[in-house]
Amino acid sequence: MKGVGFDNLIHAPNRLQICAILAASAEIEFKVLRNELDVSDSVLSKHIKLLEEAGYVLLNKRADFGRQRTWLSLSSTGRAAFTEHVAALKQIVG
Amino acid sequence: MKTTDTLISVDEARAALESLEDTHRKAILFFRPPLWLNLLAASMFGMLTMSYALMSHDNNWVLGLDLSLAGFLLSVAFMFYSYRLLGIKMKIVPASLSGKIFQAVQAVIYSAIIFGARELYLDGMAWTPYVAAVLNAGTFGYLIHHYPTGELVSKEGVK
Repeated sequence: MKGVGFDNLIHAPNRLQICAILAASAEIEFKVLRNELDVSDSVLSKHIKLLEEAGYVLLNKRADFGRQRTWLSLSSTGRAAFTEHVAALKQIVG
Repeated sequence: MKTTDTLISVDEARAALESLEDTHRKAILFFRPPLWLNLLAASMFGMLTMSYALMSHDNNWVLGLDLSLAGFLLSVAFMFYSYRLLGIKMKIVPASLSGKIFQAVQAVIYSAIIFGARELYLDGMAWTPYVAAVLNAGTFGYLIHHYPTGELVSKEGVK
């Protein structure tokens, strides 16, 4: 079966989790997300790069409290795609 | 980048939704503020409700209202600041429609309790400010503890 709005890019387990966590917050730091997902820097970077290339995730590097931090957020396109993907999954389940 | 031509089974879709619910539940634990801060904010909100109902032109409850409002705003601001230190920037308004409705319903209920308690107190029901304070503080504390992201998440998972 397939649902309207089903997105292969988001559907990969780690990326689905990344989108779900980012959807619940305005912005989240890279290290915090890495710890929450319990994956390595390189694995998370790979997934984030794919999502960023698709325009789903925004990266913002800035110095906060005297140190450089990488903040991640879901773009409006990414939020819409994630919402549609979840709706498609629910449609498939029925 | 978006592809919609992939076929997945109902079981696969259900498993994906269950993993999503699981992530949401973990996120709730992760985003949950410390209990002491939640209790402080909730008790300030309860005090605010009671002070507003009991105040009149020249009594000390006006001071109580000012102090509790300042205490409530400071504790909520500190909650957001501590999230920021931990590497999380929280949303003030939830992104989803259900979250927005959930927050709007909360605002209506809190307002009804605050203004209703004052009206009933002025009508002679002396107990209403205390009951309203407990109701507002309890509801606020419960909702911040169980729904810190402001999003409605089922605790049972996907059936």
